Formats: sequence, C-alpha cells, structure tokens
Amino acid sequence: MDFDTTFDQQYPDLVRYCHRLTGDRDLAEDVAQESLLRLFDRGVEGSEHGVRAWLFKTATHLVRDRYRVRQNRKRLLEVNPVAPSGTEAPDMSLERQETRDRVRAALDTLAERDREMLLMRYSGFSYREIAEVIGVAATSIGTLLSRAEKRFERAMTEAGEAA
Amino acid sequence: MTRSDEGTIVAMRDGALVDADDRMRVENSPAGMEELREAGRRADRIADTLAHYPTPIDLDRAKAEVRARLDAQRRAERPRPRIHLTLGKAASLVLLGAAAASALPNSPVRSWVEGRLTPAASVEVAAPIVAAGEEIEVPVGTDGLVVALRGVPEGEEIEVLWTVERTARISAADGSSFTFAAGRAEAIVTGGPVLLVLPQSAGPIRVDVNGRRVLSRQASDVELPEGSVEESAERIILAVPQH
Repeated sequence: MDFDTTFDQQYPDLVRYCHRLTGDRDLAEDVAQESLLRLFDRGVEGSEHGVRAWLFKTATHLVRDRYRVRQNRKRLLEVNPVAPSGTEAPDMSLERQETRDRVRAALDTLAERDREMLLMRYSGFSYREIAEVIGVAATSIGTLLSRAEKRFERAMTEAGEAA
Repeated sequence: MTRSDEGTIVAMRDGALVDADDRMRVENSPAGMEELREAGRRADRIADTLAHYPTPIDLDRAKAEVRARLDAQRRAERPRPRIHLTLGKAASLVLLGAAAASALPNSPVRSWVEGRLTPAASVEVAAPIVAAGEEIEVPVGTDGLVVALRGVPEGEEIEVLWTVERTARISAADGSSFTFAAGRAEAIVTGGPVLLVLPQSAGPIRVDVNGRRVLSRQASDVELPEGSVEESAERIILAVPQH
C-alpha cells in the first residue's frame, strides 16, 4: 500500500469525520493520525473502501475512549479554570462561526451512537458497515437513522431559535 | 406510518436491503411515497448542513508527523508479517486470541478481560437517574434489567432492538419521563413511537407495559406472553395489549 496515496485518499475525510464527532480539532487530528499510523504499522491491506471502513471503525473506537477522557478533563477545567481557551478558527466570519456552532450544538444533543451513525452514514458507509461499528443489526439502522436525522434537524431548528 | 415503515423508507432512500413486502407497501401508498420524497429532501438538507462544519486540514503536516512516528516505530520494532484479512476474519482472530489467552491461569489477559467485562450496573448507583424528554440510556449488568412502561396508548407499537452493548435505551415521545435505579427503568410515556434498544447478552431482561408483562429474556430464550406483531432474531415489534 502506497503511503502517500492512501494518506491523501483517507486522511481528509477521516479527520473531518472525527472533528464532527467530537467538536475538538486537536483530538480529531490526533485520532485520525493514530488510526493511519496503526493501518501502516499493522500492514492492513484491502480495497480502498475496505481500508476506509477499517480506518473509520478504528477512529470511532479511539474517539470513544479519548473523548471521554477529554470530557472529564474539560469538566475539571470548568470547575478550576486555568486559562481561557482560544477560538478554533479566528479567521472565520461571524456568520459562519454561528452556523458551525449551531451544527455543533445539534450534534451534541445526539446520543453518542446516534452521532456516530449519522456521521458515518453521511460519510458514505453502508448500513452493514455502520451496524458493525455501533453494535446493532443492520436491519435496525433504517429506524435508528431516521430518528437520529429527525432529532438532529429538530435540534438545528431549536439552536437557530435560541441564537 | 408505523415504526417499521419509518425504517423501511429511510433504507429505501439509502439503497439498503429492504424486505420486498415492506417495499411494496410503501410504493403502493401515496403517503409512503411522500414520506420517501421527504426523507430524500431531509438527507439533502443534512448533507448541506454538515458541509457548514468546516475542518481546516493541513495534509502535509499530518503526513510528515505520521511518517516520522512510523519510521521511529519501525526502527524500534522488528518487522511484522503483513495482514490481508476481511474485517470479519480479523475480528474473529482477535476474539479467538483473547479467548485463548484469557483461558490461561494467571494470564494478564484474563484479568484484563474480566476487568473489561465487569458489568456497568455493578457500580453502586447512589441516586436514581431521572430524565425527562424522549430518551434515557442506562447500564445493564449481570443482574439484568426490568423495563416498566406506563401510559402507553393501547394498540401502540413498541419496537425492540437487540444490541451487543451493555446499555439499554428507552425512547418515546417528547415529554415522557424516565427513572432508573437498582436495575429497574421506569417510563411514563406521553405517546409513541416507543423504541427499546436492549442488550442481548447481559442478565435477564423483562419488559412490562401498563402493568402487564410483554417480554422476558433469559440468555437466548425470549418469551412474549402477549404475542408480537413481528419477530426476528434482531427485532421484535409488540403491540400494546388492551387494558
């Protein structure tokens, strides 16, 4: 497997997925890089789509582990603030930043598995692949996804009204 | 529109495998076809919305960092055989390896596995979990779980999905209230659809609706005293019995 080709093909979508999943760009980069590192280190090979599925699955599991640690740390920092956190993208226009914040708020209202399922679906994965990652039967994904989508849209509307 | 139709419509939209009868039922229904079109519009809206969540990407820097870490790792380790497996085979090998290692006395894997398998519900719950809204998620341990739903309208369908997770989710109409303590989850439901996502491999599971037992599961044995609308290994649809 060619390092450059695989990296160029997989990294952008992978880091984007992790960013949407967590709202934390540093964490997203960290997890995406760790997933690719494991891919190359273990010599995992397969079709482009197979490699992509392996990477997203690995990244989802890493996010589950690390996100919880970060959330705990964040809670501690909120109780005992050390320094103000900087904005993620200071050059972003106010309007774009507000839209992004609404999307983030809406994603955060979803349960962890619903968020994973929604974002994997909108990253182009099949029901079977999503089912394997979130741990339910593939035949259940339609119902669960439908509910997650409706909840996400409702949360977007509510976030817009609150803004 | 029933819960199963809701799932069928989204599955049809996404080109997933759909039961032929379910597909025909949707295609022969004007309301179903309108739901399908709306599901398509919703997918477009969500894709558009997610595009507004930008992620600045420095590909060259990331690539350099991973390459450097990989080189450092390879210098420190002996080369390993390459793997070319499907995900299913890879997962099976990992499970077999873990099972074999955990069978050895004094195996560190055994203690690790035991630690990982400690049921979440064995953690002392100091106070009941109380939630209002449309969903609650609770841990399920080896002692199992009792789900008691009240206020569910007669004739309403309850969808039960089995999951490999060791948590259970109860989902109902917005405004429902939920409590959980000592392995018992109660919900006062304001309306349907009601969805229960229950662990398939934790302790015994029991579901009571409006005071009547409608489901019990012990290991792989599932009993449905009030019958079901639909039943498969992965999903059960129950109709709320008459009072």
